[in-house]
Amino acid sequence: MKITRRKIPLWIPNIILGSILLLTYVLLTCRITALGYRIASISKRYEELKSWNQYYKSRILSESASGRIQTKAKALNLSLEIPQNWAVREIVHVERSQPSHGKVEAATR
Amino acid sequence: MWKDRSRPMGKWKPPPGNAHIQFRKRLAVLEGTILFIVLLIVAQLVNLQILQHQKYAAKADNIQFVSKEIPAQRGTIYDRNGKILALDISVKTVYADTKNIVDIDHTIHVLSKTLQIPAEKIRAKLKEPYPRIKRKVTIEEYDKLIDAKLKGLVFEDDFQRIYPKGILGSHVIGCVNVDGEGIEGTELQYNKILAGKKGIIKWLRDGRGNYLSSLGKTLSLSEQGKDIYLTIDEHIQHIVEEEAEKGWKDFSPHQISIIVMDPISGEILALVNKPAYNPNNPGAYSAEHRRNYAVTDLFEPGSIFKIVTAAAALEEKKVRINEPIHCEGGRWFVRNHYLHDTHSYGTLTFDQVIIKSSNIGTVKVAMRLGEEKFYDHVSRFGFGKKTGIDLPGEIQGIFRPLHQWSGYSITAIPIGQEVGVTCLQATRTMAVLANGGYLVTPHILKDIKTTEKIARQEPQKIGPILSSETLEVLNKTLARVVSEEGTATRAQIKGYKICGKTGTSQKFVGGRFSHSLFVGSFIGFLPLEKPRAVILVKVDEPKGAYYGGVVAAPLFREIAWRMMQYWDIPPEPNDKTIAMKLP
Repeated sequence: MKITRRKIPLWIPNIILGSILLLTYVLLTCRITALGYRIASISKRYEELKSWNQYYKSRILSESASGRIQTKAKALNLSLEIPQNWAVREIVHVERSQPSHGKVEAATR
Repeated sequence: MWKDRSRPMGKWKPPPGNAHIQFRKRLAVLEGTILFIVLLIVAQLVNLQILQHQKYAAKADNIQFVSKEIPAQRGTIYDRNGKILALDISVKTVYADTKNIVDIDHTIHVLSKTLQIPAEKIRAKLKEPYPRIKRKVTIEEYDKLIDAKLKGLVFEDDFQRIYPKGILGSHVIGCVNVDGEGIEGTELQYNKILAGKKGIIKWLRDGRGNYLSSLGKTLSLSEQGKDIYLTIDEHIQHIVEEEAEKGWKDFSPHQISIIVMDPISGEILALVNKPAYNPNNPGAYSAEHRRNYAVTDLFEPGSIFKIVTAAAALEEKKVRINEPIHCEGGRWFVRNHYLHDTHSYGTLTFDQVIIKSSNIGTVKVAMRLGEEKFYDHVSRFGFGKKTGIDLPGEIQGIFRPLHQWSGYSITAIPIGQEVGVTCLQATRTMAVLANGGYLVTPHILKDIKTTEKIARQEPQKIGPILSSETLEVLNKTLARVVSEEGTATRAQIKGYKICGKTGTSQKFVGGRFSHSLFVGSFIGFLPLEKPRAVILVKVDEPKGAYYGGVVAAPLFREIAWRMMQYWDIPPEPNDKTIAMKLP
């Protein structure tokens, strides 16, 4: 028995292929657009966080300024003496009634 | 189902007669019409898509894309140790798209409460189609507005200049206007470097007006401004401002200027003027507060100018340091007028003339030099010319050319009259004695930070303009000024050798010298052996006292002492003292 294969017209696979490509294009476009929205929202959030970071940085700098610390110390009645690194002392010879037995004695003031 | 039974089923046959010809004709007309329409459509498509493509693409772009300016972040200003003095932070500008506002009363209420603007003012603004509600809205305020979920508000990016140290160094750093352009100080001087470049971006906008930044086109990127490093030391600046404040309280003067300079490089370590202003809110202060007096104003230097006279006379060998000079008992008639000293001195050696600050002795020595030689030496110190500091508004001072001198000039200029100098010029003069005789250019900019490399500012100097012999003799004499025998006893610091000179001058008001308005000044450097800093203190119109040794020298002492502690420079002990390092 001879099997006869039905010939499929050429336009049918063309249309199917075209439709698949079109669908892929549409899907990709939609996906790109959706990603675009996501990126826009994330970059907006990133910018906001960056702004907060800058804002707090400037606040920290302002609060830690020497003038500000001094004002606060004054308001809280705290002494803010800057410690000295060096001091100069005069040498004063101590007069003793007893002999020094060859020892040199000195005091500072 | 209805069927046409009148026509028999089977092969189609043309109607009899010429009806089929007529039918073919009609078919041809129909086919022709369809073809014509198709051709028209194709032609129009060619016209739209090819011939007029650019025009319509641009139209579509205008609808879909919105051009926005990208503001450029201004460069940060640091002190010499990398501490931030000025920086830009992100802020927003709030606009209202009035067509999209849903609940106008609620919107006004929230905006008024959050942005601290009266409700009536916002209501008036909302009568316009796209009003700007407020510029420089902080991130805190912005967040509150976002949380309120108001419809019809549009936010645009911007930057706000912040000066975290407030008033500190305001005259050096300067300030910017509301558009972020420098208007004072370094901000103005280096505006081009700091400002950067604005960019332009085209953002895709959807039907609801949302911006899709990721699908946009960047036409030009914004370029951030370059960061700069100043020569200022924040800590020294703070010390100087604190001491200036004390001087302000003690003497209630019209104005105080203090400069601290590195004598070797010419780097300005601190520069203070009082009254000062807060650059975060410059509009709240008068122009007087914003004025950088140390650079833009001159004063009659008085006795501090005797340093120049003494240097010239010693350099020309017209006088020996121990040569006796008769000081005429404090009153001398010369060139048709009387010259006075504050005390009646008989004969003083030349070093004593400087130490006691005798006007008569100084003028006698200057007259030995002669006008031309004296003029030449004063010119070498750069008087009458700008120092070249990189701050706006510098003036050259007054030092008239020789042909404009009167017969009296040689008796006035050597003691600091008939000349007008800026604080910078005076500071630079003292630096010449401290750095081995070189005339340095004072400057504020240390580095410009770029992505490629750090551009270093090389110090510029002229000279030497004085010989080492002159410097040695003169510095020893000036060290005695800051001793019990000199006029600057209040500038002494135990353990540190200081060279200095006091100055007191009457102010020239209404065409004559005032007997109640004075300028007291002191200029000095330390330590003598290895000078680290030149400090000038000028107190303009002090109340209660006016001598430089009384109003300016104590401020010098406090500043110098604190600086030595900060730099950890040990005192120099002598046979009666010892220096102790404290834990």
